[in-house]
Amino acid sequence: MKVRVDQSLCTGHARCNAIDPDLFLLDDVGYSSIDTVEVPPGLEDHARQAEANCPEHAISIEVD
Amino acid sequence: MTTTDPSVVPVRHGFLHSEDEGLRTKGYPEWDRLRNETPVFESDYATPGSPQPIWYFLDYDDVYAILRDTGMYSSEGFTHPDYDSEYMMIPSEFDPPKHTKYRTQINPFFSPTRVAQMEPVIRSVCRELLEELAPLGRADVITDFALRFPTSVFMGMLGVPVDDLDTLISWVHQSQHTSHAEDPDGRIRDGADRAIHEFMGAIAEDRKKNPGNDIVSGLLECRVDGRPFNDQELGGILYLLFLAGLDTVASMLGWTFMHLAQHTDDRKRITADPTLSASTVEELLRYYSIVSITRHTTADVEMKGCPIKKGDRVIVPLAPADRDPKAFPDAMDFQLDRAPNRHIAFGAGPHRCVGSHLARLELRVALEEWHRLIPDYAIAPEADLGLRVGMFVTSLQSVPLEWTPSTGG
Repeated sequence: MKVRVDQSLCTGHARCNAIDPDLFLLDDVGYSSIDTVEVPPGLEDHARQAEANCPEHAISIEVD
Repeated sequence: MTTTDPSVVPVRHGFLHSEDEGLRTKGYPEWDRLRNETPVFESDYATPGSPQPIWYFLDYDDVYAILRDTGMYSSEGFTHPDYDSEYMMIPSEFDPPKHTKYRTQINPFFSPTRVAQMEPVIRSVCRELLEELAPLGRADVITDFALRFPTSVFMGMLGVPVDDLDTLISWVHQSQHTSHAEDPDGRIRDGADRAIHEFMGAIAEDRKKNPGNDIVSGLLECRVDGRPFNDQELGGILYLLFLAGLDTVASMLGWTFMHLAQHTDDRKRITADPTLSASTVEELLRYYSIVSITRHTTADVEMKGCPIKKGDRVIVPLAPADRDPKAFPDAMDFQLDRAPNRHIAFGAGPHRCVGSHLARLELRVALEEWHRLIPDYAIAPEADLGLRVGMFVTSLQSVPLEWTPSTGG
């Protein structure tokens, strides 16, 4: 599973980071700093929660 | 159904949410009724200063789309829609790309990391206030706690002693809680706005000579287009931080303790398990979204069949959007562990509340500390909560609570 954050949509709610701060890294001022990352095994549910929680619909999941 | 015929868009004559009797008496359930009956409607409410029709959008998807489309739906001048004012909130009243230049300078002061570092100080401010209240067995959440807690935190950020809290609170009240009917020419609001600017201006002048670690000193170091903020810009930014930071958190605290006083099961759950506080805060923000946002259009546009003309006002209240059953399963059920919870109580798009992380922290700390000291309470009999649906913020003016003080510390 891969998770992608569309940084053009991110406006810094940081809800994803609250779910998993290691998977959803933020930049210095609190906006998402990741593009597409591989979801480590066991964290798929965090990725799905973050996708469903993002107020800007900036997060999408790609299943291999 | 054709959507280009203007006659299909319902009209609510003379409707303005901040003056509506149904909303004032029934509150959030009335937003639900309005959304279910007419998710989109036109109002012919007009004042001499603002003669255009107003278009209301209440569904989550429409509110979200409007908030993201800052090119079509402009924020310029929204804070004083019914009279001329020299004061503006910066950068809330700028549209991108100008907004972005200012916003990027302000973001670092309110980043999740910066806010997290403030938690010990915020917690001790909260604890100090509550330790005074707990032995009394009664308090008005609004006047004794909700206005004082975020204001004290903000004074700490400004690096100013908290010695005249009541004056500051009265300015917030006059500036934000005075209706058009009470103040048709804006004199009361203008006076409070001037007082806030003079207060902030004096702090800024001092920090220019004596810089410190406070936010004003930090803002003086910021640069737009290679230059520092001028006095008007700095005044507009501090004006925004002052009002948006104090009034909103205070209002949310009122709804929070009203809800938890009335819902014993929820109160017992978070008292027994404080780790539920964070998700409870999110559900409170969703269920009691306090903010209504005003925009105006930059061109003629058709939105959901509405023939909106350039310059018309568009109002998107966040409460009916965040309680929209099309966006939230069992939207009317308050679920303190709701997941997912994609609410937009802090807005959406580039104007997303810059203080959202600070607000969340203050609300969570308030929940944790209050229930540690005062786990059980009820609303005083015959209390008048004084629901007030403002142009921008919906709040309660009084939430008197009673409890049995614990003995022996």
